[in-house]
Amino acid sequence: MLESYREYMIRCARCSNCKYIPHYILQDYNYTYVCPSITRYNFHAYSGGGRLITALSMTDGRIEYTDKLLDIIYQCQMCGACDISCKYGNDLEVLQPLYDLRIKCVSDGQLNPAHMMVIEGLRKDDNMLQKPKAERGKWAEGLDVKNINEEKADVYYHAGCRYCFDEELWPAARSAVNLLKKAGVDVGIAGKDETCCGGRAYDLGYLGELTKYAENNVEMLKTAGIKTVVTSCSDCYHAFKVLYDKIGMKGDLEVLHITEYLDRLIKEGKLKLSKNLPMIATYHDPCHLGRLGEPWIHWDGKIKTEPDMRVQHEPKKVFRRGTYGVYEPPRDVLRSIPGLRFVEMFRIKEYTWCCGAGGGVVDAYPDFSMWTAIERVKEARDTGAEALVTACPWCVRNFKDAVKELGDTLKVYDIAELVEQCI
Amino acid sequence: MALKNRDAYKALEDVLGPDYISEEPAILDTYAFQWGAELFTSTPFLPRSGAVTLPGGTEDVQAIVKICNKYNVRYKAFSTGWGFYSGLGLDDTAIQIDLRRMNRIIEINEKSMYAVVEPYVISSQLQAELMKRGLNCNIIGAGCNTSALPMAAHQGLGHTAVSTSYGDRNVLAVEWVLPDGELLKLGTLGSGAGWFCGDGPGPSLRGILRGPQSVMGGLGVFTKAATKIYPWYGPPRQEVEGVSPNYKLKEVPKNFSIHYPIFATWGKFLEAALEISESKIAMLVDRISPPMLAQALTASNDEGAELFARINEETRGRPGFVVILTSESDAELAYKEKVLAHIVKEKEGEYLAFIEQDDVKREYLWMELRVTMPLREVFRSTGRFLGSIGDSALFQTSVRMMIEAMEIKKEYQEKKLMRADDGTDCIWGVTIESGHTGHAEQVVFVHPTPEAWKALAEFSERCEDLALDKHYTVPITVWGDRGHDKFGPYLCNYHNWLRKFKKSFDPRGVSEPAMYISAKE
Repeated sequence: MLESYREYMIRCARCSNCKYIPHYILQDYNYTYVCPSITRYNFHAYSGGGRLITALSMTDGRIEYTDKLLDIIYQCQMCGACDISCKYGNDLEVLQPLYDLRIKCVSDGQLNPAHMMVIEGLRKDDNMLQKPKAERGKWAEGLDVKNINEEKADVYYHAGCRYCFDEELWPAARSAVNLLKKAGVDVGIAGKDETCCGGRAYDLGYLGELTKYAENNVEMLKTAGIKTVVTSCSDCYHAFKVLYDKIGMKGDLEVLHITEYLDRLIKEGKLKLSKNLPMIATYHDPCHLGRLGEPWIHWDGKIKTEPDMRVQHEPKKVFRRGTYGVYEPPRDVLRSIPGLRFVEMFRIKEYTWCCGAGGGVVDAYPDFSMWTAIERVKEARDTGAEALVTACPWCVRNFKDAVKELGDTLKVYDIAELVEQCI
Repeated sequence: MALKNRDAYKALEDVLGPDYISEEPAILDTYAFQWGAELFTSTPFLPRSGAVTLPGGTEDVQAIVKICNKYNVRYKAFSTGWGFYSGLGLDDTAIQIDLRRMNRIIEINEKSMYAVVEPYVISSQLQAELMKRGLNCNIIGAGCNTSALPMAAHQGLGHTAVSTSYGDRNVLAVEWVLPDGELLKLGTLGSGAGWFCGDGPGPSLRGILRGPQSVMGGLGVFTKAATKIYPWYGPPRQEVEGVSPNYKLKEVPKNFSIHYPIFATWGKFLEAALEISESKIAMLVDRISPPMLAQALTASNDEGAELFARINEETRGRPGFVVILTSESDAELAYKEKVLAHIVKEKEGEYLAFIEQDDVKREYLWMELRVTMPLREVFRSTGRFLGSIGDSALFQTSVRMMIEAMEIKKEYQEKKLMRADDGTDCIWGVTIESGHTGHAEQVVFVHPTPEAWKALAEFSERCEDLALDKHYTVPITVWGDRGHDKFGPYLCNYHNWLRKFKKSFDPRGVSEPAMYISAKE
């Protein structure tokens, strides 16, 4: 409930730190902003803190719904960068109230037309790309991989909507499965029976869709006896690992991103990277794998100000501050590729700049989404990199489109594609 | 609520374009919500302005100001817009000028040691660019997230004031849109000689733009300014390890050291602070109290309380301050260390062992020099604070006033209207320019409730009365008609001069005066 975050909303200091990367690590004037929304739209309302104030205004009945208000709420990738920068210095929640703000909008019938179309597609075809359900399994044709609904497997590989339906990206998902098989992992997929994880619907404010797809997926995995889920999609990773836990449905499911699994397999010697891949490459941390990918921490307590007026939590609350996101495994994988020279961008890990595709922005505000991706592509170029490597199909898609828009020659890869080239 | 004068809105929209002006209530509310609004209203929201504008440069600012003059619409400009200062006195007959798009570093002049910035350049941005060139800037105590414009925030005092002075004295040439829209180029800029001097050849009005407490946005808009910059002996780029919120420098940079000497009495504390400052060995002399130190070095209030207990076991109420030494050579640093150790020993002090730990040094040094910690130190504790109880004078005078103010504060602490400072004190202070002057504040932690802020206002006024009774100097809570009318008669009737300035420069009275002074007789 949005109202339950009022104590945090009212304690926003309006310091604007949510607009910047944490100042402790700021090294360059050109790469100081972390929030695409405020950087693009400028009015304070478009920052994390601004949206907290907006939520407070709504909660307190100071403002009514308008088209502009809905734009303010939805012109945000929900990337969580504001949350991390704020929490360097504060005991506040920024992103969580923003989820609830969107849930409230949906509950009040204040819908974004583009999001409605996506959700209608989801309800009809179980995917976020408005594609026919029957085509879901085509990406894996000829892969010779088990279907967990027909055969027993130890590990379930979840491709996710984008990898299932974006044909240009199929090689990445296929590489992931090939690598797992090569390493001797007993892996299976769900083929045409795979469904959306529900994570992106939740980002749009559709809590019911998240719950529905969590139930579907958990039930399918339970029936198939699956204990470990691996995915190449960071959004799906976040949904299975974090959101399902948040709504109490994850159970003891082990959720791994493909980069974590590949890193493990390489370090265990089960995958040997022998072929030279001479290139200069940089890595983009997907928001849902990095700062948002740390485990969910349940807390059910109250804020107290006794005995000394200091704001404390009873019981103690451990805030999710992005500290335990998945940062090193993908980097270690890249470092293990012979001949590849790995260079870092300016905004990385917990303070990375979003690819632009999140939070329904790619659906409702494609120009803003493209602008955000172009900013990142330029940053990658500033490192001298020839390739931009990432670990999420939504990022890959947006970067490929941005590179095309710029007329650039920067190569964009999913990390699994590169690893397969070295085997 | 929308701007009442529709012709003015139309004229502004014509100049700026629809993307850079708004009267959307949701947008206006994010400017009305301000830390300290509770001093004036029963909510965290000040009254909304009629519209918010986003000029892209000086010409836009001039156009806005001229339209405001034409249509008799009051305006208030701000840089990062943090605090009630940026919204006080506004309503639907007035507009705000958010200078956010004016965020360019215009020039860094390494030879003449100045940097020219627009109002929305923040200190961390400027400092990062300066350090690449072996230079550094003053960062105000409010934090590196605030404007680097040397007169954007009050006096502009920061942690390194002993070696980098403060805003009022760092300001050089200025580009200033006067209240009627005329562009004034102050100092050398006015004679086409660049930015290196605020006093000429060319017009010198630094006394007017500063006033006793700066004009606080009440006398037009500063669109560019040059600030003095200082040497930096550290690396051009700081190597940081860890993930937020656990950042640390990989190592304490060569030729840097940090200590926290503690003393048996406030008297010894003051003697040591002054001798260290006067000896010119220190880059930083910063009085951070143990509760604030513990807050700064922890990621949450829960952890802060635990760390304070640990630090307090060692300090046992003895006052101390942070000292950072830096130098161009090993030998010079060794000399400075010797001088510091000698003074501390002579004043019967000792170094806080907690700060001497390598991992603490690696974390804290960069917090002091970059982050300046306003959120962890002050806002996180109760959600709101006010530090502007103190004054700038001789360091010993300021600290003594704050010690006296502690007694008044206790009355409110007992009523649980202010946090009890963990049984110690929360005096923040710095020495300025090798100790020639100094500044101290009584940091007060309150909840965001009207009752707490009413108490805070009362406390501020009692501290002002203390300043008058005991002949201390003008506290930094003195602003607006109330403050200046109270103190002017004791200080050569300076308030009458301020009013004359206001009247002459702002004949239509459209530059919102709530934080400065109105032209009323």
